[in-house]
Amino acid sequence: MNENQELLSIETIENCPSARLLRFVGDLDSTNAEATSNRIVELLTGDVNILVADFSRLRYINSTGLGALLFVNKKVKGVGGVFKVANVNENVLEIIEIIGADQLLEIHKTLEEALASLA
Amino acid sequence: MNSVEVKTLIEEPEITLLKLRGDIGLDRIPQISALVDEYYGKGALHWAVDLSDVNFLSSPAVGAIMGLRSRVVSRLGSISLFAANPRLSEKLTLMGVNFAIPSFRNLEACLAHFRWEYKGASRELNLILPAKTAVVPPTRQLVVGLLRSKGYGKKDAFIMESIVDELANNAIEHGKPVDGIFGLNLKFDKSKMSLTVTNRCEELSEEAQKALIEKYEHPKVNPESVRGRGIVLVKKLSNKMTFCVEPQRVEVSVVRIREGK
Repeated sequence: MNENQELLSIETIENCPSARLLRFVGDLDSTNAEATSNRIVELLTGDVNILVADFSRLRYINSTGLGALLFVNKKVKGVGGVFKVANVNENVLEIIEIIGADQLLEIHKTLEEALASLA
Repeated sequence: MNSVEVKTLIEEPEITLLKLRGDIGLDRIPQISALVDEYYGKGALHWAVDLSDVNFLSSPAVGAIMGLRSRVVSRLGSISLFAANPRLSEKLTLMGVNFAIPSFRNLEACLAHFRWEYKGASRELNLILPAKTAVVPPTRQLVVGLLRSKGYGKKDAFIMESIVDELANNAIEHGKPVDGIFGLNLKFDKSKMSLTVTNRCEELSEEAQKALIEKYEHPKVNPESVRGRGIVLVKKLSNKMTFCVEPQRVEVSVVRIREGK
């Protein structure tokens, strides 16, 4: 991974103005979890209430990073929205499952599937 | 001086050393075969071939070494090459010998490999680190690099990366190390990894010690809380977790058996 590459990039989703696509690259851990969740939660102050996270390039997550995602999930639900996660690699999925977060997060196998579920 | 010599290695008597010198052409094969047969017949199963003084190794000589490899491997033995000069090393690579027989820079590296593979030798990493979150990512990456360099698979390395991360952050955030440092010791061999993370802390009351012990013994996840999942994760990722809570010191140790993936 390029160390200078930003962990999170945010994109709009065609034909869905209230949605944002969150692309993660690299490691979500204790060094960046809080800043990342704050950045995502800021999106909810406008008209945005649908978030789709693409984890295809998220290499690693720890319990703090996962806690930050659960915080986001709680905030999104608080504004009546949805938070979907897609393309989770095997290792990251194992961490999510061990912690039991798979019961709290809406996980899709592919990004296409997650986006299709918005319709 | 003999161009072919076989002897038991003083540093590691289970290894038989085949020392070759000069140009090893077709004419040397009978001598090599006779000596190899003699020692193999006496039970020599682990061999190291010293190429440090070899100028030229003919294809039949390589064939003789490969033949010895077939014999020892079929009886769970081993053979390694060491100290080939760059030209010879290139030739062996071109011939694909490196795919079948490990090759090392020197005898020391060859012995380290043997002891790791056959004698249960372990590697140890001892670190005293500043109690700052920023040191954790490079530390866990160092651990991954060490494990991968010794043949551990991606899955095993990822799991130990997670354990190192969680315990290091636990020591930094919850241990509140009073001296601004914490200790990390990783010991691993071919079959398992053991990690101990230690931190000193401000005097813990008896109640605080009990609460900490309860946290390690019966870690719970509060679904409403976004924190407090690290120890649950470590406990599930490790095969064994032990801890020692003292008034001014906390130590957590885990053992993880290698999966081989």
